Amino acid sequence: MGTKRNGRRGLLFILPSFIGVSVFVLIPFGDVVRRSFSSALGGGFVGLQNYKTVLSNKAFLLAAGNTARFLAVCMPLLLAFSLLLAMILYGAPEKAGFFKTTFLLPMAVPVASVALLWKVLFHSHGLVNGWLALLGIAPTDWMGGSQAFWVLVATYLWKNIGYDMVLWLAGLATIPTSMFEAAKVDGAGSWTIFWKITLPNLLPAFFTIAVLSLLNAFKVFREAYLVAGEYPDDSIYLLQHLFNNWFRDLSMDKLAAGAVLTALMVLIMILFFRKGLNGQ
Amino acid sequence: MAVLLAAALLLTAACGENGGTASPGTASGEDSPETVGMGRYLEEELSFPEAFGVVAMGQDKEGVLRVFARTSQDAPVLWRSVDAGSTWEVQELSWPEFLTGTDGMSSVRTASFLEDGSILVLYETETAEDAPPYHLVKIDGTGQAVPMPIAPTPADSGIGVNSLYLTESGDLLSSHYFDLVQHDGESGKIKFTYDPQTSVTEGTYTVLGNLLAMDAGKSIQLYDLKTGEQTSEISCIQNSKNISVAGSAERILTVDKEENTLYFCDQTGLYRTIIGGTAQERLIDGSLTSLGKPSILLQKLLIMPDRRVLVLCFEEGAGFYLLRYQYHPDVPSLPSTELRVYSLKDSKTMRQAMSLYQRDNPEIRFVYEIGISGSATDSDGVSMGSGSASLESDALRTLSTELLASKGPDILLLDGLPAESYIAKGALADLSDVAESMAAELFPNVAESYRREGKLYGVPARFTVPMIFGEDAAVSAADDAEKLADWLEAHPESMLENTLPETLLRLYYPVYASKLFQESGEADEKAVKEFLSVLRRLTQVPGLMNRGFNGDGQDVQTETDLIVDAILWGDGVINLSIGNFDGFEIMRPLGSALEKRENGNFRPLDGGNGPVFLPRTVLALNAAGKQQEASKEFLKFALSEEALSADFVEGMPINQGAFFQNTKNPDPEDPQGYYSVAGTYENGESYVAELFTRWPKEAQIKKLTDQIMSVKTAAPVDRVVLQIFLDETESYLNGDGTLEEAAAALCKKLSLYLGE
Amino acid sequence: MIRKNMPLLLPLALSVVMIYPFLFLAGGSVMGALELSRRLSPVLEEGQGFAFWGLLPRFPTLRPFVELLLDSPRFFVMFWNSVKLEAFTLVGQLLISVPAAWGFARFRFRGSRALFMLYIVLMLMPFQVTMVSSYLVLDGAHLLDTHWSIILPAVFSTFPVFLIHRFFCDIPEALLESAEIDGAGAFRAFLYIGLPLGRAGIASAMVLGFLEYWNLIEQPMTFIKTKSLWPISLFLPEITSGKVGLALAASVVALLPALLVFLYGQTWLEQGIVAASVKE
Repeated sequence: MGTKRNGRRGLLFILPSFIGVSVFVLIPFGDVVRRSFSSALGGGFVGLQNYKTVLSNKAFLLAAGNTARFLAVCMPLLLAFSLLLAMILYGAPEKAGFFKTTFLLPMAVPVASVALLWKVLFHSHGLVNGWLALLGIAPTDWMGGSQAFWVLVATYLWKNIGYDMVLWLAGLATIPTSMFEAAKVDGAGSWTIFWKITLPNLLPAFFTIAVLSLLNAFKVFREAYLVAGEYPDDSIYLLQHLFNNWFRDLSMDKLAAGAVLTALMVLIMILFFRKGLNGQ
Repeated sequence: MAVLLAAALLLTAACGENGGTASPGTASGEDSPETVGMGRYLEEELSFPEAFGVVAMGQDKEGVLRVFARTSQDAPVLWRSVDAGSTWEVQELSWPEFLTGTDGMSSVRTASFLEDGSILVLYETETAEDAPPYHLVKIDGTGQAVPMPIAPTPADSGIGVNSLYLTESGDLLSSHYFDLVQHDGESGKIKFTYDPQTSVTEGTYTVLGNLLAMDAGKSIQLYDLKTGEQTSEISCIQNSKNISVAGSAERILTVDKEENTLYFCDQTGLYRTIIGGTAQERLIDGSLTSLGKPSILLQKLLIMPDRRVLVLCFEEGAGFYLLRYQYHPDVPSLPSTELRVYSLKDSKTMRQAMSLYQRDNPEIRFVYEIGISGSATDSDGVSMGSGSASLESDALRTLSTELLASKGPDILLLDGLPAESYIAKGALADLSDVAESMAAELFPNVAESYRREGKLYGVPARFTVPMIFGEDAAVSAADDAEKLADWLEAHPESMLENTLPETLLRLYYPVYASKLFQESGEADEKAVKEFLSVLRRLTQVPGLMNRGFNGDGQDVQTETDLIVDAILWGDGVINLSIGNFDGFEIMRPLGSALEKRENGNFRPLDGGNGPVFLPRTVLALNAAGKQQEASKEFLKFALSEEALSADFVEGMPINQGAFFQNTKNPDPEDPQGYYSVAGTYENGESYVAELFTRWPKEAQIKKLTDQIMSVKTAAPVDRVVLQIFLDETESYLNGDGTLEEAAAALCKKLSLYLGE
Repeated sequence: MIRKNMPLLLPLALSVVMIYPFLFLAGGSVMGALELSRRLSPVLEEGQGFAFWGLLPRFPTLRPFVELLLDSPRFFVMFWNSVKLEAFTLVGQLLISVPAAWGFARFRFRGSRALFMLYIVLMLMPFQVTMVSSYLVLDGAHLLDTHWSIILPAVFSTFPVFLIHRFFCDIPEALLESAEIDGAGAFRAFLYIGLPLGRAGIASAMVLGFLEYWNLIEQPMTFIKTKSLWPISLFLPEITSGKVGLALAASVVALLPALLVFLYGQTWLEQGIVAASVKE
């Protein structure tokens, strides 16, 4: 990262965006923070009552735990796997175009179509169980048991791997090829090059990719919701399920407190990513 | 299917708006329009001097109205009105014998007024075997009958002629409900047949010269009578998309010869379009008049020479009457007070109440919002498979947004809404005063269903009672679901109408609900297991309907239709049926079936804790609504006898006057009715059940009403809980998976929901 | 040669998984209603056995497409609504977020990092959290029930700022310095150096933005009451179970624009990446 000039001029670039963001995002979010200290229907100040309620709420604890578990499992998997693919394709640039297109395709499928497909595939009388039956394996209820968690992880990987791969490729493209050549001349092995040159140079890209993967991890809820409904298997009952249900039942008090807590957790995670980078 | 996510909102459009072609930036909706134009058609209801069946209605050039009718004694009568229907006088004619019915063989089928004031009458004779069944005569001003050279014939399918029209060129049009036939005026040969894919009656087509215009549901089709070819089409999708699927969708047409203009009228209002032009103009907003009333059947439209509009209507119970509309240039085009009414599903009861109230209170305008339009789901708002459930939750979230933003509707129907949560959050206003002022009229136990900590948060306008009927031995033995299962297993030759898991669960869940939960609110796993195992046994007894319709994409029928079941039982196809008793319309076939079978009986379902009723059409008031007083006044009306006397099979009225009025025979003549039901058994063989019906005897009605009134316990159904039951027990009740698994999974989900 | 291509086996195998759902949608969309329901009845109607699927229909038919394109006038209205929404949103995002990303990437001023962090946290908030508050803001601005209620918040989404920022950061400072030595002002540097070199970032933000807004479900459902203003993403979920064929046909049609944007955007992406890698 180049040295940034000190500049108020930068503000001019940001100002239009900041004004709009304030109106359409920041003010609403501020309102949510205010509501987290109020009773449900815009009523009076209740202090930390909502936070107490939420933190002792069984459903919230389950959903928060599930969400954390989901992130902890799927993000490393996605980041590592997409990097691996990016490395492979980086080595074969002439074939990369085809694969990039193919791997990005899942992103283009409308959410509702994905849901329809998943129903057909993972239903207890669905295609996947049909294939398994051909192989002599007993069918499972994919969406009904703890396997649902892994179906969701797979969905997330399926949908986002192409995207992350392309981002990694863009990151790889910024590493001057001369660095690799120099290392090769010095007799460095593939692993050494990967650890000593590739990875460190990808770190700036890592932050972006990690944050985007986090963003997309939250989005996978749409599919989960469309396939398994408001009360899916315990293992994939995520924070958004709970938020959705609270909202349906007019529990804005709990929703606001839960949202603020979630925002705090997200902030901590991002600071953590940042720290990891700066610590480098 | 899970792809159902979207919520649908149905908004009745404001008068003068011509559909919704909006681009980014065209704001509309939320705020009441700042500038309200002047001028509106106001409605009057005119009744005929005597109850009779209208056979034909017409007007001459001077605007003199004539109605050819039959009195309750079946005698022909010609009424005449010179003041656009305000007063009527009988025009004395010496009717020919074959029309007075005194010859004992002839009866009038249909008739049509001709330009010169004479009447074209089609009658049939029953006894003459070889003679053509139909005779066509022209009755002139003195009553002289002149036989016509030709006569139409019934359709090949046997369906009789239901309307006539003589064109300028002398061709004769006759309709048979599903088609319209054009006969050559001289030879009587059929020249052309028109099939609009919808029903054809006297009012649904009109003729101008060689132009035939007929309603085809989504559009009006125009034909050239010379060639029989369709020349063009007037799209009515813009209006018909606002018509509820459940409501009657007829459209009646007429033309104005001088103006070369076509007028048409449906639930959404009255429209005018120049023939050959494309623009449609809405003259009357149906939602501001009785036209939007679901109980109404539109018969005939007339435009008077002074531009007043007459609509001939028929309504069950009320018979024939006229609606007359006159333009008032000094009345604001939109009423000043707007009341917003919300329900998750379309409610005919609400539409009826709004329509009636609107007419007497022209300053009130209703905006009726429906969370989910269409017929994708049934009345409880839940079904197996989570698709429609998410559809509803989406609608509820949209509603939550509005309520939280203090932009919510004034009046809410709690059916399918998270009522307890709304109450706990203080979203609903206390209706004690409304209920108190109506106390003498309402069934007290039903009215009190939603009293919590001294306050009354909702009043059900209607209620249903889960019942069982059929063979006395079984009905008497079936003290609860388990005893019913015992009896059916001991009598394997007996057939229960519906053994679909979903149907059984829907019916029995409310009956058993109080047993399935502990004091703490947690589900009682042991009780749940017992309950499910009994249901599983019931799914295995012989049933007429034990699988959904397969193959052709039809939805599985999950709601039992007691009318059909009564016919099936009356003819011995089934032995027993259980279902929600939701309207007195069921009484006629049920009473006749009881009469016929002799060994029959009926009683409310019981889960061991006594029978229950289900509150329906639960009226509630948004505590943040800005029109509290106006809303309450309307709610009082919505609970009145007038608002609730029409029976839409949406439940029985809470209003005792309306309730007992429903138990009276709407037709004192009590003509014999006939029903038949056909279907296929599981094994592919088909059955036909027939039943001749009459209004039941006093004693039976009394027994039924006594039973219904003795049910004191309300069983409000939590939509989410019922949905969880449906989802989690589906496999077990269908024979996959074990009871333990199902019960454990069910209780886990319930505790998740209850823990939120 | 073979050895060199060995690693490509992995992406090759994965492509099958990636593409399968497409073939499923495409195959199903030209299948007769009878064939569809026979194949899928175990899933849709709780029949016995398993659903089965050959990718090629036995009796191909264009009926579902005919039904969709000729008999569903609403589909067209919704399709064009989506196109309209996309056009306004993407142009707006270009105008607002590209400069903002430049401002964050190339200038450092007091609070700029904190502000950027705030942007990231706001980006990660699930929609449900701020739904009510956004509704109030939009209502206050009299935007409810218009397309602007979708467009404006989307224009000020912080996501493209975040994504493009990454690509701007990768532009070597030296390039800019040399430009300034040549007398180019900050704005000209942005225009003539930033924009061309950040092309990959801008393109990927636009492509992703397109997909995101093409699939929008919650926002239009909450903010737009008039059905004739709804976008295509709400058409799919409305189709009921009896009409699987129609649903599949609609999926395919809804997918096409996304696919085109992909294929076209892909070239842009490639060029951008190439441009970035040869920049020194």
